[in-house]
Formats: sequence, structure tokens, C-alpha cells
Amino acid sequence: MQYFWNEIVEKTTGIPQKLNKSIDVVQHMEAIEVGTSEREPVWQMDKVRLFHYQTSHEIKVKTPVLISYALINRYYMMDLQPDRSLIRKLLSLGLDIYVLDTGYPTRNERYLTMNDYINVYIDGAVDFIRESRQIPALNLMGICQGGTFSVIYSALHPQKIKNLITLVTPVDFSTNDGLLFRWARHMDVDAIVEGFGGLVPGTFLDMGFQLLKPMLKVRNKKTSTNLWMMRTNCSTSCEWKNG
Amino acid sequence: MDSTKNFIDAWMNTQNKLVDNLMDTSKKIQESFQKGEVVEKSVELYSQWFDKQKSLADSMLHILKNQWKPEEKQPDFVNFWLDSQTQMAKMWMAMLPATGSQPDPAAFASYMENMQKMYADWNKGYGQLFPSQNGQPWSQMAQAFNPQQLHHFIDNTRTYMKMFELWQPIYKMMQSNTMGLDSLSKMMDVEKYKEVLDGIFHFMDGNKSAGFLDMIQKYNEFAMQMLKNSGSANVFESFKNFMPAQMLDKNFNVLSQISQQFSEQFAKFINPYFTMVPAGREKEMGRIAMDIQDMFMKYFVKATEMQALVYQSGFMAIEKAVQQVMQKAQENTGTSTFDDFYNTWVNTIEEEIIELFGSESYSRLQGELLKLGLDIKTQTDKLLEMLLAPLPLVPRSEMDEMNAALYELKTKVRQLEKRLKATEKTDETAPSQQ
Repeated sequence: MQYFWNEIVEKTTGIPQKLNKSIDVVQHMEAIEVGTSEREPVWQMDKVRLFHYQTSHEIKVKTPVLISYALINRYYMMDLQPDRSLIRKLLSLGLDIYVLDTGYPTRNERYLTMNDYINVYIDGAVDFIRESRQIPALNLMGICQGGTFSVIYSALHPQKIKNLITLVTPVDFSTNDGLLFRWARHMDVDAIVEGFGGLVPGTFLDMGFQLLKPMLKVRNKKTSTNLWMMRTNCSTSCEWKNG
Repeated sequence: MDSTKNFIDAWMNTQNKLVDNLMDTSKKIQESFQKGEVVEKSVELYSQWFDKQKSLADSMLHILKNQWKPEEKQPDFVNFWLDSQTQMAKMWMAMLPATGSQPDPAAFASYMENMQKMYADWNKGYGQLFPSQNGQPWSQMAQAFNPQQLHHFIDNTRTYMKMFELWQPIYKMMQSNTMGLDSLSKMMDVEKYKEVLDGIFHFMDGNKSAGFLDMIQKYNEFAMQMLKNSGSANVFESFKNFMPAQMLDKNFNVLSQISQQFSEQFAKFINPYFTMVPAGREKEMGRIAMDIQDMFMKYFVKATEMQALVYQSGFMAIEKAVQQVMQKAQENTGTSTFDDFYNTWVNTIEEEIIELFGSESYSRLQGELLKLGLDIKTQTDKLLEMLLAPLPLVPRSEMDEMNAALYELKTKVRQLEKRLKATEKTDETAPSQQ
């Protein structure tokens, strides 16, 4: 049993110092810049802005691509870091890229509907690109919720879209594949919108996503826990066996 | 269920008599109006009305006490529920005299004390869905290594430690070849395992609901002050006792039905009082406060049901995990470590919980619970607005009206701009008149 306690003492010694150091590291962590690719705002309606990315690469595909991203996140998710950027990759392949930034909604935007996002903002951006570039149609790339909007937009305005590309886009909401689809069926959307004052917070969605993997935090913390506590290895088991 | 039926029958019967009494009194008041004796008669009529109401309520409580037989296989929590309701009815009747004459400061102070205690207990013991409604973004927590993060870190660490404690007797029995599934239920520390599940799913985490429920308390204090000693108290007093480890076999339908019946009948019971209070903001606030309390009752029943479902899955998971570890130990001679057991348990409980989350019954329950929680918040916001109405502040509802008007105006401007643009294009392409 002595070995067992020695192990605990060994593993727990220095924990306060380690904690202090980790707090210090977190507090002095440098801010991380995201969305660093060079771009310029070319159009705006309300809070929605259209950016055009600058490129030094040769444009190989003449028809520009408009990227429509989800409302629950920001467009720079596709341009996180210089070495982790879908935008940079597409630019290097010779594509001409525009991206729609829907901004952060406040209570001022509580009366906006899907119609506004699809038939006003996306349509406004599409028309701007078509007119400024003197082209009849462009390529539309929709990601996540932006993909759902893009599918609907393309169905409503097929003459304005040359190619539709969708990534991680939910389309069939009647499926039973996935807890979110099942849960959503029993949710009173009006009560949710009203309850949150017309602006459903990201934390609400975050809670739903966390529940998809309910044991994740416990699983992840096991490693950290081992710093604090003992692990029952063979020697410990032997101690028990003997005594 | 006979006792439950008798309880409800007796309660309803009394309510009917109470309403009859009110109607009879109203008729007499009308007659006194016609005879021009309203001032002289009103005190006398009120006094008669009150005496009769009190007598009926006392009689009802007596009947209920004798009719309800806890030994008739009813779960404990039904008894708790009934005790709390009868207690509330008694308090109500004790406070009622003050409402007809001058407010009694002592009765009011006592009432407020009970209300505060009730919410403090509730605060301490319950509130699972509210963290997302407090509006505190997760990003705040992520900005620095704050105490809350440390709290979560330690919480998760506790899971590992508590599972380790649970594992020790299991391991010892396995070592001595005396372990079997039948012995698991005997030697398993049920309370400790429940703590593990509570820690993971944050049941009973009062800290998270503190802000919201404190707010509720203040609304209620104010609303109740307006209504002078009225309303219910101690509704939730015994709720905190509903969470024993043996809750797995409780029949939530019974609680739900009684809660529904009680709410309906209590509404009838209290309605005469509201007819006496003049129409206005205070009366409306009183109504909303009552509605919120009613919704809390329903929320609690649903949330407890959900908690029980998670416990059931949790208990199934540990049985399966022990079974798997035992089988593994029998198949090879290697030593089973705690990490083996912990990993098996985490994998098993995740499977069980995800299966539960995917079930129709859980999804429906979650939807109902969410709606109730948000309805409570909506009503609470409404109450807050009414509370702040005398202050020179622009309430949210007025801002929303303005935002709605702005939205409509913007839409109209866009449509006009579009038409103007189309007209300009037509003009440009049209052949010149000259």
C-alpha cells in the first residue's frame, strides 16, 4: 500500500505550481488573427457585406465564385490562418472569390426572415457581381446553413446561377439520421424565438451540439485527471491483491 | 389510484361550493346595490363570504387528510406533493382575512420570508436549462482561465475520482471471485453513482440558475407586494425532497396529473380573489406571477422525469460495464485496471445516453421542457417590463415595435428602389421621342 500512496504523492506534487503556470500561459497568450487573406468590401446592404478577395495568382476560371456561409458562424472560418485556409487554396487554384458576411445580428434584426437572407441579401450580392462583372450568372458555393440558403436561391433564380456547389449542407430535414433532426421535430420554434427575444443565442446551439457527444468532456478530462489522481496500474492492483 | 381520485373529487367538490358561495355573495351585492345599501352591506357580505370560504376550505382539508392513505402504494413524492398543497391552502386561508381589510405587516413579512425561503431552496437545488438563457456567452469563459473554468475542470476530475471509488469494491470482489451482477446492486453505492451522473449532466447545479431565479424571486416579491399578502407559498417547499436515489421507479404520470388538476382547481380557488382586485397593472402582474409559479411546477415535473430517464440509462450502463469487465477478466488472465473499467464505462454510458437522446419519448420531453422554460422566461420578461413601467425607460416591447416599423419601412424603400431602377432601365432602352 506504501507504493500506492507514494505514487499519489509523486503525481500530485507540484500541481499548484503547474496550475499557476498554466494560468500565466493562458493570460499572456497572444491574440490569434483570423481571416488574414487580403480582401476589400465591395458592396453592403444593412449589416451584410460582400468582400472580394485579392489574388496574385492567375485567374483560370473566369466565372467568379460567391461563397455563402452559415449565419451561426462567420465567413472567416474558411480563412482561419495562412496555412489553414480554404480561401487561399481556392485562390491558388485560379478562382475569383467573393464571400458574403452576414455580420452579427442584434435585436434590430429580429424581424429578418429567411426570405430576407435569400431573396434580399444573397440576391443583392449576386446582382451586384453580375452587373459589375457584366456576366449573366455566377458560381455559388454554399456551406452548412449557407448551403441550404444557396440551394433555395438556386431553385428560385436558376438563371443567375451557373454552378451550385454545396458543402456540409442539410437539405432533407425529415430524416431520422442524427439527433438534431429528431429533437428539432419536437421543438416549438416560435416559443424559442420569443423566449430569446427574437435572437437565438449561439450558446443555445452550442448546448445542443455538446449533447450530441455527452461524454466528451469526461473522456477528454481523463488525461488531465491523471495528473491529479492515481491510476490503478498493475502495482496498485497487486497491492490490493496482497492486502 | 383510488386515493388520488378521492382527493381530486373532494377538491373539486369543494371548489364548486366555493364558487357557488362567491356567486351567492355577488348576487347579494347586486341586490344591495339596487337597494342603495352597498356601503353598509359590503363589510358584512365580505365577512360572510370569507367565513364561508374558510369553513369550506377547513372542511376540505379535513376530508383530504382522512381520505388520503399513503400506505396505498403511492410513491413518497405524491405524499410530499399533497402535503405541500394542503400546506399552501392553509396558508392561503390564513392570509386571506388581511386582504379584505387593512394589510397585516406581520402576515406579509411571514409570507415574504416563506417566499424567499422557497426560492432560495429552489435556487440551491434546481435549474438545469437556464444557463443558456442567462445570456452569458461561453466565449466569456474561454477568454481567460477563470474560476468557473477551474470549477468545470474540477467537476470533470471528480467524475474520474468518484468512479474510482465505485470501482474499488467491484475490483476487490472480482479479485476474490465473488463478483456477480446480482451482487452489484447490493454493494453498489447508488448515491455516489447518482453524484457522478449529476456531475456529468449538471443536474441540481444551483449556481447556473442562480441569476435567473434570483430575478424571478424579485419579480415575485414585487408582484406579491402589490397584491398584499395574497398568492401561494411553499409550493415548492418539499420539491427538493423529491430527489432520493430511489426515484427510478416513480410514476411521473401521477405527479403530472395531480399537478394539472391542482393547477386548474387552484385557479378556480383563487379567481374570486382576483375579481376583488381592481383591474390594472398590479392585477396583471399578480396573474403573471401566478402563471409563472404554475409553469415552474410543470417544469419541475418534466425536468424530474428527464432526470430519471438519464439515471435509468446511467444505471444500465454501469451494469453493462461491469459485465464486460468481468467477462474480459474471465477470458484472459491479465489484470483489469481501473482505466479499463473507466473507458468501458464511458463508452457504454455514451451509447446508452445517445440511444436515450434519440428516442421519441426523450425528444418529446425535451421539447416540452424547453418550451416551458422559455415560456417562463417570456412571462418573466413581461413581468419585468411591467415592474419597470413607472421608470423613464424604454421597454423592449416598444423597441421591438420600433424595429418592426423600421423593418417594414426598409422593405418598402427597397421595393421602391427596385421599381425606380427598373423604370430607369426602361427609359434608357426606350427609343427617343425626338
